[in-house]
Amino acid sequence: MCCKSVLALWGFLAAAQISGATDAAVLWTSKVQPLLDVNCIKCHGPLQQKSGLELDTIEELIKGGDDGAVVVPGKPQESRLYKNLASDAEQHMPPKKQLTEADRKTVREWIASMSAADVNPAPKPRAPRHFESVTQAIDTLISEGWQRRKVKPASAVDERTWCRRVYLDLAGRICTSAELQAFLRAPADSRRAALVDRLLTSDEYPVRMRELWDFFLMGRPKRERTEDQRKNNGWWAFLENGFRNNRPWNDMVRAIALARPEQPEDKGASWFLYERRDDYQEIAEAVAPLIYGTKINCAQCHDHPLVREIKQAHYWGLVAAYNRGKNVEGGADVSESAIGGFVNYSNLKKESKPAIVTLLSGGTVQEDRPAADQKEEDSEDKYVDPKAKVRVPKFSRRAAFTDAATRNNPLLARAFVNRIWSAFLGRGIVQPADEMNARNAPSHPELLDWLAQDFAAHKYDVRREVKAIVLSRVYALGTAEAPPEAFAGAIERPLSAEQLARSWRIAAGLPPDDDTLRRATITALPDVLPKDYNATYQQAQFLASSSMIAGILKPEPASTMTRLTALPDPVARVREAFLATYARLPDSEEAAQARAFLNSRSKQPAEANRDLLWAMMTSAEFLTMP
Amino acid sequence: MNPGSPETFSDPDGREPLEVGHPKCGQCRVDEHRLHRRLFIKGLAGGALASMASFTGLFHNPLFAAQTKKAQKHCILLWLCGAPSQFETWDPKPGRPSGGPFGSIPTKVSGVHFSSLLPRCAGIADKLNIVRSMKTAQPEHLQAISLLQRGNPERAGFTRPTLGSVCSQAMGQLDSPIPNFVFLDPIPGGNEFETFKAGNWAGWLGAEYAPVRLGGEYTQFLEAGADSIPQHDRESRETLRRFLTAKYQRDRKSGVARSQNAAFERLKGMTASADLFDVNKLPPKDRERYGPSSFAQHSLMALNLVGHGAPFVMVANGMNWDNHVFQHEIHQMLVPELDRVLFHLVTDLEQRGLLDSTLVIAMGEFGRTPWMNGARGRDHYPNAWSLMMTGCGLKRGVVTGATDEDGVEVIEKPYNEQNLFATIFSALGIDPYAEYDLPGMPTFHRVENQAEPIRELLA
Repeated sequence: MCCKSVLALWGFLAAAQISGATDAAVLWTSKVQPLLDVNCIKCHGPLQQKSGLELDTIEELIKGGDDGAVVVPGKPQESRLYKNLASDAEQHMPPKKQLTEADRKTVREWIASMSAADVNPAPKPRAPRHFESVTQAIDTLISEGWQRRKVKPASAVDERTWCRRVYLDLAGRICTSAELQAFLRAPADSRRAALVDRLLTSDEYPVRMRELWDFFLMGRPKRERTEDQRKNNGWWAFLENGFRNNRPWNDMVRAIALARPEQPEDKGASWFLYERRDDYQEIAEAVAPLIYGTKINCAQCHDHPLVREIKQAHYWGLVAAYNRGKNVEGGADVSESAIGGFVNYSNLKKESKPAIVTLLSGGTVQEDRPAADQKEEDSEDKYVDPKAKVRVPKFSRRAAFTDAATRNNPLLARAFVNRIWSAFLGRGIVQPADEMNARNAPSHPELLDWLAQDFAAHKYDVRREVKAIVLSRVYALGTAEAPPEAFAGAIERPLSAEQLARSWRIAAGLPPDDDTLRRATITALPDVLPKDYNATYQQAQFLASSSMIAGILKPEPASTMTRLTALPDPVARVREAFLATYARLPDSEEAAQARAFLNSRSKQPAEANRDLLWAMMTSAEFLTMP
Repeated sequence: MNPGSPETFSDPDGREPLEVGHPKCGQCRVDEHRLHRRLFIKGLAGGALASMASFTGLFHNPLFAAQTKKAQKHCILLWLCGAPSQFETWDPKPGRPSGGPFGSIPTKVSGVHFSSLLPRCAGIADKLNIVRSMKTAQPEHLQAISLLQRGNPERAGFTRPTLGSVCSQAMGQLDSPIPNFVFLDPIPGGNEFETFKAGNWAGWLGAEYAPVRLGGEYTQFLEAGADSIPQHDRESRETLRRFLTAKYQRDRKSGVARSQNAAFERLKGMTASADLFDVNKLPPKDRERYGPSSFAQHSLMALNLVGHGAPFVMVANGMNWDNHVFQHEIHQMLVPELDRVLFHLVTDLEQRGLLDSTLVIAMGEFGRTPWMNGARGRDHYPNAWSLMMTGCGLKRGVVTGATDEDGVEVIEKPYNEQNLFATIFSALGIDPYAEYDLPGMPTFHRVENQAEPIRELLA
């Protein structure tokens, strides 16, 4: 059954009006809002407002329509929102359907559970609080969240677990026994910060971050050839160098969005556009989450039906920013024309409007539009260097858009902060992480605001942000039973294929990198931090039968297998296997099972050792973050 | 239970398992059964859903097992992805501008004509049913594939399970060696179909109802696995893996662990049925009859799987029907192949006494345009299209719905994906309007809006 989705939906907070953990708030997000989405929003929402009534946000709903309020808190029998649902109601709603008894009960209970206090006007925005450090901000605001929700946080994980977690997050692999011992032996009060500093400046950190961001920005390659293209055209190098040199994030986004590498460090950035092969809509849909933190795909044919601030104008405005571009053969460059790209878009009512470059963060890029019958003439004087292979127009829409989108755009910082938070904590402050819009309220709005303004104020320093998160208290928590958005306990995070491939090799006592194993694992387990974890049959087949996994369990010199074989008795071998694979000792139940397993295969000890390691490496504990 | 005491893995407590009416069935390894029972008592084995019968449980009583096999319904979905042209198949318009070059032929059903590319099906038209009035709203592949696979428009945030997953849950057997939802498609790609294939098939039902994908290279692990490690070793190490994962699930309420064990459950027993998925093990005479293409061979495999109890088999071959270019030329190859396959499949099912318990559906995600485009092709057309369905729970020889003389509009009895799914579920004896039990989620039914089935098809 879908226990996970119960937890995932529970307690999505509504916008500012409804306070944290009231029954009304929970009912609104888990039951009432979805119900209204299906049955009411079409006529009472962002697209149409019949009788002046909008039901897609709490504020609008409370305001009521032309005939006044539709909800009286605590009194469903006096609330038209409820009364009109009855089958014999004079103004029966919805007009052509009858809601079921269950649905009506939901609405009734919700109104009954509302108190006058739930209907307060929005609190006035206040200046950001002062904190000594980013970590302090995180610790304070998260802990205030626990108090507000009346949940008890889990206890912190032990040092071994913390060390393993940080290595996985920053170096993309588990630590070796030697690295773990070195950490445990280091002075207790400074070892965490020291380890983080070392990992952030290691060679593995840029690779790990590139793996994450290549996935976020480009998705998994559809074909094997695509991965090679990304490498050969400098996309991977661009990302890695950016993270290695801790380039300000807004600089990197500018390079990506502009796709006009003029400096050597921008080389490869244009691949973001180039791989999408002049599909301007696909480009627009990819740029939006990067620059605004939200997908805008639903606003292609009409204003977004659920998220009122996303309009068709934004969607087509973003398309217009890119539709003068053209891939140049034999490289990764995207030229831009000085003319053309004037499109109109129409909505479902067939009303047509011209597409102007329009930003979700506000503002448009004005340009002269030719009359309908006027034919635009291209000419050399419209270009900076007409003889160049990759022509750059004197007025470049792409540059104008990129400028506006990466300078005075507060959404850029929010998008990054939320995304990096979700990568390391298993869930964004706004969830889903790529849908930061009015429909998804942040679980900790003050924290998100603070982190974003601080990130922007400190030159979009990625390393600083990562360090702060990883040294926070919330990052170090163990598991707890609490709604996930409370961050009262660690949220389960399956390892990515790259993390797994490297970690398997380390557990087997081998050097971490092997390209063939990496690629095979990616094919079998392509997801990275999926919203819903879905272990496929194919994946199980891979784990059970792959000759590549079998291959790392051969007794190489100095490998775990060899060490196991040298040990005299099952007890010692089990202990060694657990330390090598899980960096811990087995509990009594595990020890008994594993020992019994080895004893049942005592005639073939080498195979028994191999299979013991196999079972541990393919079990859930190894496949998830500690 | 005393976890500390066992010395040998295969004899946990030295007693005979106390299972009421448990004979030495010889079907499963006794020690695995004991361990499984021990884990079950500790609450670590995956719990069986109340709604599903247990295969191994039923084998305790041989009479029961036979009865279950008889009561088992099946569905074979020939998924003609990319969408075949109704003009070149079930709803020809000879002599009309939209008609194309192939004309029509009379069929065994008086007054009904098929395209001349379907001579064999014309000969068994009295065993088939055609719906000529499909009218759906999605003209693009990805959305249309999802629409016709899930039977309802998408709703943001919730993934409705596909037909195969729903049937797998409603008709499938727990512990069955054959997966409850088999998807045979050797083609890794297929543009939007590739994207669909990589998506979430089982939706809110959970990963255990996702299809097992086989065919072509997807079958290779079954063979590869067999020779490298002996079966006994595989099973014993799998039991250890399952124990560790189940313990992790219990200790941490881990969703990953639950999903992992569910996926490995489906591997269990696959090696026993591996031959059923090997094209080379099919009877050579049958292989010759069906034809050499993978689509034909996999359709034969589907017949065989159904004969062995598989509840749902979906056969596809990438997105080969999407003929925007050279439509007549390509359909001229594809339709006769479909004709041959359908003819043999339906005839064989009938001869083996399986047609009354097996629903056969042949459809794409929409139809094709009455007019040709500039590249000698037909484009997408959801406005009026056809499909074939026959077998379990349906009449035979019915042609329902009609389009105008050029096939531009439906003029009689338009049906959409909801009507289609209501029909499929009714035919299979599955309640179409049952509500899903999904705590914390909105109310969903198998078929929404109480949409009517195509009553004239139901037996």
